[in-house]
Amino acid sequence: MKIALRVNGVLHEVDVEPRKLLVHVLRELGYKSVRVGCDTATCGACTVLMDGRPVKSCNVLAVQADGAEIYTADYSDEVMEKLRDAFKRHHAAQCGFCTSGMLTTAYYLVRRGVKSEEEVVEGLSGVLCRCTGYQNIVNAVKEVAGL
Amino acid sequence: MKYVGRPIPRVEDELILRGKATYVDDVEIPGMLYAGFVRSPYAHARVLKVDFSDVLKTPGVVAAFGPGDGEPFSFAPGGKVRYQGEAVAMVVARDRYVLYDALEKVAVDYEPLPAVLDINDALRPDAPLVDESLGNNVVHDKVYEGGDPDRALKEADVVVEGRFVIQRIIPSAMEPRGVVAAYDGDVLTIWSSTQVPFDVRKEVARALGLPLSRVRAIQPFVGGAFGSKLLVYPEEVWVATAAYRLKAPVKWVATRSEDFKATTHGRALTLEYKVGASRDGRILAVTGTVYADAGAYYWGEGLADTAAQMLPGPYDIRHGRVRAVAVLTNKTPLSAYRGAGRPEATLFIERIMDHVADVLGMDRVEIRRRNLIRQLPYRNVFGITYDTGDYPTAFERGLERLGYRDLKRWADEEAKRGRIIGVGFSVYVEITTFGYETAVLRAERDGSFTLYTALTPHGQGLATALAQVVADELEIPMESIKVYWGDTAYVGDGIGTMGSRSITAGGSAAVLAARRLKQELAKAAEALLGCRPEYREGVFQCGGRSVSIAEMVKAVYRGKAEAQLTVEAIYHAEPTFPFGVHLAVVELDPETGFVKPLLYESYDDVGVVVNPLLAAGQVMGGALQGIAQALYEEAIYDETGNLVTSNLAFYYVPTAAEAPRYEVYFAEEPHPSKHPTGTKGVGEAATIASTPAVIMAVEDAMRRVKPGVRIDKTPITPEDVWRLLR
Amino acid sequence: MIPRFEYIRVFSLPEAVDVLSRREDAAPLAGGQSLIPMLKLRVASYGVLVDIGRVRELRYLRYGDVVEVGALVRHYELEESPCGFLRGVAVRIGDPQVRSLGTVGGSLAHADPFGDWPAAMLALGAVVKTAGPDGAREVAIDDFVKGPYQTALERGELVAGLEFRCPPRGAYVKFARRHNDFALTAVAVAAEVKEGHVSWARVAALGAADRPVRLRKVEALLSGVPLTADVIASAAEAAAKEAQPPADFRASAEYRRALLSVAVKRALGRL
Repeated sequence: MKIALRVNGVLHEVDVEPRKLLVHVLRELGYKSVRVGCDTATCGACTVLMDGRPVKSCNVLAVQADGAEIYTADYSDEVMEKLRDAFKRHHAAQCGFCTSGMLTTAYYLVRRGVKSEEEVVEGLSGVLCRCTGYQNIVNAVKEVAGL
Repeated sequence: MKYVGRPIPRVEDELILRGKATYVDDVEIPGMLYAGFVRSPYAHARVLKVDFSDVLKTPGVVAAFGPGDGEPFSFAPGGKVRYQGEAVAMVVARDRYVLYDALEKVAVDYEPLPAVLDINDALRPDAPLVDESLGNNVVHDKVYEGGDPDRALKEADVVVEGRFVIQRIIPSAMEPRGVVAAYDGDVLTIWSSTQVPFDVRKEVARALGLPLSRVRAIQPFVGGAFGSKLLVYPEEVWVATAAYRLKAPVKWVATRSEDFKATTHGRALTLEYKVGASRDGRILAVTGTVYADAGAYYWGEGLADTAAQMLPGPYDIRHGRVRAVAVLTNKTPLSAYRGAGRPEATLFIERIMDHVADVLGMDRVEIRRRNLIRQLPYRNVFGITYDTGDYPTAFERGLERLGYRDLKRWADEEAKRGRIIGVGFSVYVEITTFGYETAVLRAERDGSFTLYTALTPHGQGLATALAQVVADELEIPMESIKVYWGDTAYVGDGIGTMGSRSITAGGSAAVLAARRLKQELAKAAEALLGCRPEYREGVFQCGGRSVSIAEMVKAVYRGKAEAQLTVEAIYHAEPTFPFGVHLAVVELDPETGFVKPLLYESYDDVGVVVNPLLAAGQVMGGALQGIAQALYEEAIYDETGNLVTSNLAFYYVPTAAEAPRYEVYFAEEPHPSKHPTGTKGVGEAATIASTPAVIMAVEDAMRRVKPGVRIDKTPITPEDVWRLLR
Repeated sequence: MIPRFEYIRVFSLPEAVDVLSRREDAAPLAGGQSLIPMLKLRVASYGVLVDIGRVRELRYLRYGDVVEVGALVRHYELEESPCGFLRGVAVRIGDPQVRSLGTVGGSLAHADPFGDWPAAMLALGAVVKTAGPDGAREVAIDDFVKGPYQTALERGELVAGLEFRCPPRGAYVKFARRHNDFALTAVAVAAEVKEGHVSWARVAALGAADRPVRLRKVEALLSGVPLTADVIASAAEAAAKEAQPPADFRASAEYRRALLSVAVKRALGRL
């Protein structure tokens, strides 16, 4: 089935099998930052923004996303660069496997105007990190969100 | 010292934060085939027949391998499978989705056998045998002894007995294991999500009868490991063999559910103990047995032994006898998980100290104060020599710095308002570092340096830390050093990142390489300058003349001077022993038994801290893993040997919402190791220290509700707390 | 990886009903947040997935005397609802990513015994509006959930929406092992309190039986009395007595029973 996806502003038209997950289509399009860490939509490493909301792209069929506007951790704008800089200074990434999911989720939170540490923590709770203990990630996001 | 000791952000982050780091599933080669495994649904079964007739007819299926295919396809050895998830066959297909359809078409006839899942059952004389050739399920049994424990127990004022059970942990690195292998007719290359590319290379070369020089193993970026990727797994050999035979690139990446069964589990040790103490709180003897629930194959050698040998911990106990027993069961094989024997030893001895303190009516700080080792170096009762430190001073300063007494007072105040807070702490000494490590350092024409390390970082930030130590040694900017890792084409052999050994063993190798390279260049400089030069900040000078490293290197290439521009250092590292005090604060909901970790603090003497930003990262992440062991995680099997906690939805890796606030401190006057870096290692410290600190905190909170309750297992779930409080 | 299926995207309710009633092996796909993991783990498979995600008739949310929630309203859309009770439920569902796509109608139709919306809707006394080959039906929520993963939906029928009144007072108390986990138990209370007396209360729970249930003895106890500490305590006790909680790896029946009691107490305390 032919579908269209606009990824980080670039339009892709691809022919996909209906059973194919969005995460696999994105990866095949070269967006390797979108990672698969589980099969139950728990870990959140595959989080992308789809039409303005964070979603787990391993839990969406590519055909469902037909026509959607998608942003991945490959994206660059002022907010994303600020997040990258803050993640680096706060040592918010270790093995890096969850980092794309953390960045896309953080990007959503900052854009939405997250208001408190509690909201940052709840906002990030859909992405598992096994390395950092989370504090440095939370602090990096708080800093960019001006909290 | 210019860089060592400074909180320098990581050089690795450029790739990671732009999504450009290449993990094994990101390796793409034209013509890639996908491999998958048929895995046993039974915990224990005879494999009567594996039938590929359907699957080989499926369009898109390229090959299938099963028990009949000979070495190295060691599926179902001895004609049976010993745990749920053990591989029975392998299918190779052109597409990942086709592959998973195909796997369902492999017809396997199983004859289920009774499974043994509990070590107590496994030790019964009539227990089903996991490995018939052993005659029973005990795969390892060794006694560690020192002093005269029997006499010491007899002479003790009190003898305290108990049992403590540590659960099975699923390491749950965020990246499941995976392998890509490709053979171009000349070289067989394997990319693997591993901690041990050198071992992968050796094992694949051996299995296929290839010379090492034609097998190259690459460790790409690895999404966490925590000890669960430090063995060569059968899948690595099988995928490499398939690629070699099919002359095509083959990729296998485990699904999470698959990974939970096919990747080793950790912990799962039980201690039965009997200790003797004097009335004034001195521990005179520690005796007991450590049982490891080893799983279906004895891959976790040494776990019970490390726990036994480190059981005395930081305490001066002169008499001891601890037996280390490993018992086979029909579960995923047990192996290392961050700390591998030391977290267990520490949890055991810290629980013992509290138990004895309770029996004697003694304060938990006081009993430790009375037993801490006073003089280093110290040879423990089982013959392990702790190197450097000042435990009594670090203990007192640690408690002070972490505010233990203030927090206890605060908890008392909160209790008056009906809020139940528990405060706990732990003391640990751990053993880190072993074996050799290799560094290759090359001076480049432009004065920059390329360092190849045999270390295998997977999140620790070692490219940054190694650049720091080498930059200091060479007195040059860090930016002049590029660190490469994880490729057997760079370095002949090494061990890898595990056991908190990297910066000590691999960092010291890098320092030695830098020293040797400086000597080499100095020889050439002397020839060029005609006098014996001094080296400062990248420049050799004497007699009023100077020559830069870049000039030196160019001179060597032009034949104007002679020097080795690439040097290799192989460093053999003896163990070293970090020490620390950690503290946990939790809040208890006495009605539900829910426990919320509020605060986690650490005070460690880990020798020289190369990069406090990275070291603190290790502490916080390690702490949450240990907190999770105390409160959340457990591999649960049902009575048939089915893994119930079979994926991340059922297995409670904590989220950001469960994490406490952390405060990380390092000793103001650390005691360096004797290694060139002076480091002792920090990767596992908090995983070791956190579980006992949290358990003490939970018990402290519970005793505000019900005096005298004792926790004798991990995890302590809300339901466990609720039961104990009833 | 997901087994093969035929994918049919529909744009209208009649179209959806038509395909679902013609094809025995068809299932509707809304947000997919429960369905897709089951397909991935290969514990479920269907010959046809009917993607109803673009059916506009199912995407409405109206707040009047009656709250009308279209089946395709996503959990996150209720996180900032003017109806406080809905907010309290929505923010406790899954994680933010799951709430971005998961739908209220999907949650009802899936009838996971540990799903949040079925219990919440029981407390609300919602009417489930269905659409099917024999036309539209209105099913009282009490008659809708028939068992674990079982509903009153007949072949070809799907949930079109829900209607209920936003309760004057409400609370949702949920206990879970991990922040985003399914509940061990949860209690939803909708009530009206006039002049210090409970004029009516509907109390529903999950983790109290093999399906979400109303705690009718608790409701009866509360009716017409002031919400004193004693009343709350006896309601909590009645909840424990009334429940037949399931046991699984997350919790024993006994512990669930105790938690249920605490959940009732705390939910009533928040009214």
